[in-house]
Amino acid sequence: MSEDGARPSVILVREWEQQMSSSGCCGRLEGDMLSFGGERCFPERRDKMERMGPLYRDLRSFYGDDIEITVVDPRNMITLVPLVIRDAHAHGAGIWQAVRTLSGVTITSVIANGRLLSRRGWPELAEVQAALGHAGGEREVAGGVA
Amino acid sequence: MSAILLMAVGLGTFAVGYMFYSRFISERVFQLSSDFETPAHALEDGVDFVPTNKWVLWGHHFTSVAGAAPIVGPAIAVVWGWLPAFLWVTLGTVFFAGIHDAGALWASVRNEGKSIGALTEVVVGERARALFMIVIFLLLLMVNAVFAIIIAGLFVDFPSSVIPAWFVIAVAITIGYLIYRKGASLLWPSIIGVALLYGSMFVGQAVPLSLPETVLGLGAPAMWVLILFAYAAVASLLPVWLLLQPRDYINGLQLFIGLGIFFTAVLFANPTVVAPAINSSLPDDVPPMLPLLFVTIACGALSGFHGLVSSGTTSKQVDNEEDVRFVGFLGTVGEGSLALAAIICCTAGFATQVEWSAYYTSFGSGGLLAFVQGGGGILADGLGLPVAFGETLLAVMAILFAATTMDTGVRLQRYVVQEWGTIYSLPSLTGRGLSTALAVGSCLILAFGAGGGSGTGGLVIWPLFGTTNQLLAGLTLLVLSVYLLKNGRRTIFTLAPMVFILSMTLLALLWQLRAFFESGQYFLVALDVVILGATIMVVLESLGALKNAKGGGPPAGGGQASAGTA
Repeated sequence: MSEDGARPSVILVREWEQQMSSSGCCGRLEGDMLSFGGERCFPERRDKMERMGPLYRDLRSFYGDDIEITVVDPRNMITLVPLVIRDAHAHGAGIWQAVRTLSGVTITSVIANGRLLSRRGWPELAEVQAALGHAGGEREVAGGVA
Repeated sequence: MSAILLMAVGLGTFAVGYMFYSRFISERVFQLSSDFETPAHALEDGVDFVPTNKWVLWGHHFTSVAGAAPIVGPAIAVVWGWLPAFLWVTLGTVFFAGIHDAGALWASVRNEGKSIGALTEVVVGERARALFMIVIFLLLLMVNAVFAIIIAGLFVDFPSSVIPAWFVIAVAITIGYLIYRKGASLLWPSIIGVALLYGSMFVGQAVPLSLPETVLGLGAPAMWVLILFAYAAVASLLPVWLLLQPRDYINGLQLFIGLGIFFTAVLFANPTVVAPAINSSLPDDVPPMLPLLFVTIACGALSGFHGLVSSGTTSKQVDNEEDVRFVGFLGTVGEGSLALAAIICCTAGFATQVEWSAYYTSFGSGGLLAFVQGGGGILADGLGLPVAFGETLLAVMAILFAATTMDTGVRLQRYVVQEWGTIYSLPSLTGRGLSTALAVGSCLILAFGAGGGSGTGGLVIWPLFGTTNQLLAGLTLLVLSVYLLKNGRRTIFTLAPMVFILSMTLLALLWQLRAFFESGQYFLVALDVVILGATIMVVLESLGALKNAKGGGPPAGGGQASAGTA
């Protein structure tokens, strides 16, 4: 728990390697139809998914279930917006902070407790830890003790 | 009848279905268990496998399943009256689509997040897997042709939609450049992009664009079909980040804005449903409701393509197996709501039944025209929007969904042709140019072969598209039934919908075969025979697979609830 009593939350904003809207009923780049002749349909999305993976794993390894980690596709606006508002409210940051966060979110961003931690990329584990105030205890991370 | 009442009964049916039937299926049939370790946990890697909050997953799933087809199908089907379409959408969503979508998700979760195509091979066999891919290819072929014809019709009927529908390409490319290449924030380009799109609708109204009645000997609809396929060919060759991805993004925003605006307008306008509950004055060419209703409305009541959504990314993110109920069933309800909105637009947006009847003078004639004009009337009454603006808004929404699907469909067909070139060592097919030409060429043959040179009659293949989609749904329900059988579970709840939908598909194909033959539409006869062949193979495959499964055999992958760990 953070000082305000709410469970710390980290939102990793990045796209999933798939098509989304207006595709589910009749034509879709996903699942079996994501890779043809060894080439992926969305190579850049795949690349970001894979390169952002270590941060997720480090966070999970360090904090376990002490914090909430949510990976959200920016196209999933219907849940990204309420999530940011919820986190900002829960951690005493208020609605304007939520608006500021949402107005700064890029296609790849990291949000900690409703505040934008990084845009156009993702931070090191230590930066997230600093933002969360080291909620939870020290645990083994992939590269050793964090 | 009040449209609010109809909306309330529809949404109420979804709610009751979710509360009781989905609970029953989840607890007694799928036996969802929080003790089962989902792939998101067992294989958690922060890349593909990520335990995700069920609300986030629902938003993701819903955004992925909704599209143009749940609008088009109900818009055509209300020709039989509002009641059959309403009943099939509401009950179909609960008893067919809910179990189909949630079942595909559950089976995938139980099998390490495998796609439904891969599961078909694991659970039923290699032949079924091949059949699965054939059906998907047929589906893509038809959807491209049908959607081109639909967009062409909207361009002709609503010239005010031409400028915004093409302008959105410039908006999408600009947004794509800003957010994917320059790292701009999402909010402001999105708000400005949507504002520009809506602004362009006013421009479209001020400067409606129409093609001449004939160009190079072709009518305007036929010329639009050619232009649209030229666009789709170019769009399918562009890098995905440049056009497809931003279009995808804008469509997501459009979906939420459109649904929000529409349901708010219905609440304020409280229009009256003027269409008859059962239409006793059917135009001569309207086929029998039984079985055609069940293939005319596929998406919105039951859609085989949803199995791909459920078993693609979603299944790898399920945090708790019990979330399958929430995500799978309620994702379906989202699309059912879109179909419900389409029914209300097409039946309540008119002053009198006589006015409504004027739209439905033949099968497929009302369709999107009724949706756009009826919906435009409701937006005007409920929100005070100018009627013409409301019509343009709805026309553009339908066009954007359909055009993105065309872009995707042609791209997918190109990929498939290129892969065939690799598999069969035909290097000429592996190039982008020839493969795209073949993809577009096959769609054009279908579009003009089905509807003739005018480019206007192609909606006659809409039910064929529906049959193919239902065939895919039948295959998914077969996989589920065999899987349940192998794991000693009750199968009646998947078998009954499977038998019903395959029977309707078969009957619809036979009826259409006779109709095409009698009217001398031999191209459609051939197409019908191909789909009929696939249907018969699915039926035979189903009988064989079920017989084998009944004969015993090991449980299919991960079927025991106790297999996982907490």
